[in-house]
Amino acid sequence: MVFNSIEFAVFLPIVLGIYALIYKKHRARDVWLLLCSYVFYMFSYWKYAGLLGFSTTLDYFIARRMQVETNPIRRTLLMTTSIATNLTVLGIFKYYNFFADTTARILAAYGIEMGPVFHNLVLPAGISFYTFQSLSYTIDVYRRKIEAEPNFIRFAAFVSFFPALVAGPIVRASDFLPQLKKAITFTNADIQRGVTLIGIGLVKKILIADMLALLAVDAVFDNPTAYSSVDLLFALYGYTFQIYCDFSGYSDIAIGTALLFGLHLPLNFNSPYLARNPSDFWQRWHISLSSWLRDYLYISLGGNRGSTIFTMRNLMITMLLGGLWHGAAMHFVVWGAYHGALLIAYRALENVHTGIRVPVLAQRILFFHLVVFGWLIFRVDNMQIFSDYLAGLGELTVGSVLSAPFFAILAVAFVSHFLPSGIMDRAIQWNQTAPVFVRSAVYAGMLLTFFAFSVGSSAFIYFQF
Amino acid sequence: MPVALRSIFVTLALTLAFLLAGELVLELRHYFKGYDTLLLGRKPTPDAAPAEAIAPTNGPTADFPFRSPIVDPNAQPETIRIWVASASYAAATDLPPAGSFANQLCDTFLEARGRPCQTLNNSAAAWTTLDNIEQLKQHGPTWKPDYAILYEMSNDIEYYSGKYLGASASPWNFDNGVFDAVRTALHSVAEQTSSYSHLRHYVGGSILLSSQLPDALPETAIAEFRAALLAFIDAARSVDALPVLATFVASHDTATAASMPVDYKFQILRYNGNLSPAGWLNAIDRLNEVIREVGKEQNVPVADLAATLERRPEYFKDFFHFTATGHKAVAAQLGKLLSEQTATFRHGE
Repeated sequence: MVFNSIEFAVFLPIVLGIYALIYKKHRARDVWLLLCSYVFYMFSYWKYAGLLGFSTTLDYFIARRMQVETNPIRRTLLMTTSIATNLTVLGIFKYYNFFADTTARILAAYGIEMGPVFHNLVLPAGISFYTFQSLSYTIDVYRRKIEAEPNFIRFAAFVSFFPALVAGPIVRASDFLPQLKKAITFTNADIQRGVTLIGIGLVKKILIADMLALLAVDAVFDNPTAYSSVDLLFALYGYTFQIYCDFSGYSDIAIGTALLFGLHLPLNFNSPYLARNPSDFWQRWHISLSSWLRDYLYISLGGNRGSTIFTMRNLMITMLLGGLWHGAAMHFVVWGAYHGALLIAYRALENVHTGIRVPVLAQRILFFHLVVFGWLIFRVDNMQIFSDYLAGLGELTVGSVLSAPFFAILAVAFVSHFLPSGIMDRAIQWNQTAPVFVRSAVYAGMLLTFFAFSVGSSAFIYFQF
Repeated sequence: MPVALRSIFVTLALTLAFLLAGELVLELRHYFKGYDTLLLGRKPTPDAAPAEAIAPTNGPTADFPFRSPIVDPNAQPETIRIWVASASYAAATDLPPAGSFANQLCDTFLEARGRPCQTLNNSAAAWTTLDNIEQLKQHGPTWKPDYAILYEMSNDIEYYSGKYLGASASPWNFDNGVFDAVRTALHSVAEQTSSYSHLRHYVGGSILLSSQLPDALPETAIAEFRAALLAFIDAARSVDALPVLATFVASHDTATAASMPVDYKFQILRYNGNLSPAGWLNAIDRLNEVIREVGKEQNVPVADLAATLERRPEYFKDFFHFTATGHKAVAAQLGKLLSEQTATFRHGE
């Protein structure tokens, strides 16, 4: 089920209505959340709910065993079992075809032909997200940062919590399970913040991301040779804001929906295009993933506790795997390597004192364009299109066939990214103080607008990851 | 229920009330224009059967799947039976059955004068040539038509442009049991609302007009259309009917595209945002060429409606549906062709 769908518009009030009646009874509340999360998930493909259940059950029992196990070797074995099993399932569904294809190509270069090697398995929705979420739990239990959760239903409700299930934010057990253990409290401020975030998320997704894709981005990326350099540049800017609005819009809706249930999810985006350098960017973009990679991969590899070369190696490995997390394709790996190179270059230059002071605005503009170039790598899955796109940009041809609405929406996306955060507070305040009739009329208008603009509606980009 | 949450449900209830009020206003407008509406139904047409007790004189009924005067499957000797395979253009549900060009063919077909002549108007909204073929295979052996006329295209363009130019199939686009059924039911209700119809038409149309849509169908689609025509010819011949093709005519062609009203463009884009309005006109030209070529190759008569009826705005009430005058003109053209071709091509005499 996707958030921008009629089924979700029906599903959410029903789930929330019953939740509001039983939220004080912990067991009933957890069972209800679990049940609804599985129903939500099964709207994507019911058969894959079994995989979610398998991963949940495995990590529950492994963590419980680790909790009482004192032998360090056995504890490590248990954790390795959890990691290996989860990553094997992820690998089979997400990476098997990629590695089989890559192997076949390498062998073909040496004259060895492989037979048919691909499988036709559909990627289970959200597998990368819930696998990482569940893994973080077992690793934290192994590191004795948290206690293993004794209540299976509660643990299963954490892993499958529907707002964050298919596209994050990747929630840590240490943040979420304590919320389920204590009494849920609803504050008017949280509820209004939740409603506002859902509205903002839908605007980002339907009115900005989908419209940018429909009005220009998809067509230009499909056939870059048909467009001028100016159009190629603006379509690339368009994709830059499309992917941001698509993914951060999803996160906003997820966080807002969770707030309606009295539960808090972590912030996932913080005006990433205002970043001044690569390190700053990764503290603003997909924060729940980058912090996961930092805590469970980069630090496990040794982090920066070694020579400069050792740190650079760890950065590159982390970013390569971060790129691969996004999908089983070479362009994602190259995108990860590109960001790894940016981080390494930044580390190398960070301590070089030239005496030149670069204004903050210039740093932001420069780094924004480095990110934009990264999105070109990310978006194009075909070398021919990539080289056509770069060549087209280099031709410096002018003129535009893109429509005025595309430029208008791009301008709105650009400006809204730089709006002060106080705007959000004002929207929440309006939600709290406006007469209910006015609010309802505005909501009705917004729903109709979303409905109308759903002409270009599509699944969230990050669903495929 | 906590107070904070209660306020959400109050707001939600009021929001729904506003939406319902808006829907009712639009439905009233649609109702009085004679369209189907979700809540109010459809305004009865003056020629509708007054009561159940009176047997209907026109199909479709359970036993007679055609929008034509009801006849017995076993025709009298010498009867001429004309099968019209088409879509909404011939179904013409806004007119009495007699208003459709399909049901006027017997009046314009010279050979039919003095002989029993029956029309089997096998047309329904949204049908494609592939649907027409299936229908002919299913019902043709029972109703034994002498002629099988195919007048079809816009739904084919929608189908092929969706197939070849539309978004790539969603990886979640597979059978998902009861969950699919729930989703389909919810979407079906939403899409029957007048609000959806208006928004899709005006807002959706405006958005798509501003987007970068292709200006032509790919050759793979053209090849598939050609194969569908050949399959129709085979299906007609397999029931001993003489196949007749017709080129497709619309209110505007590539030369007059600039003067096409924006409402017509919205109509084109309403349910299919995969091909630009110019692309539609190019596709009609290209597929009409295919119809002429196939007619020549297969020795099948072709009514070239595009050559004779285009640029006549009085024949069209929108981009491709005919006015009453348009139906008469199409019937005259088809009847003339049948009259010319019978001596050479007619089977079963």
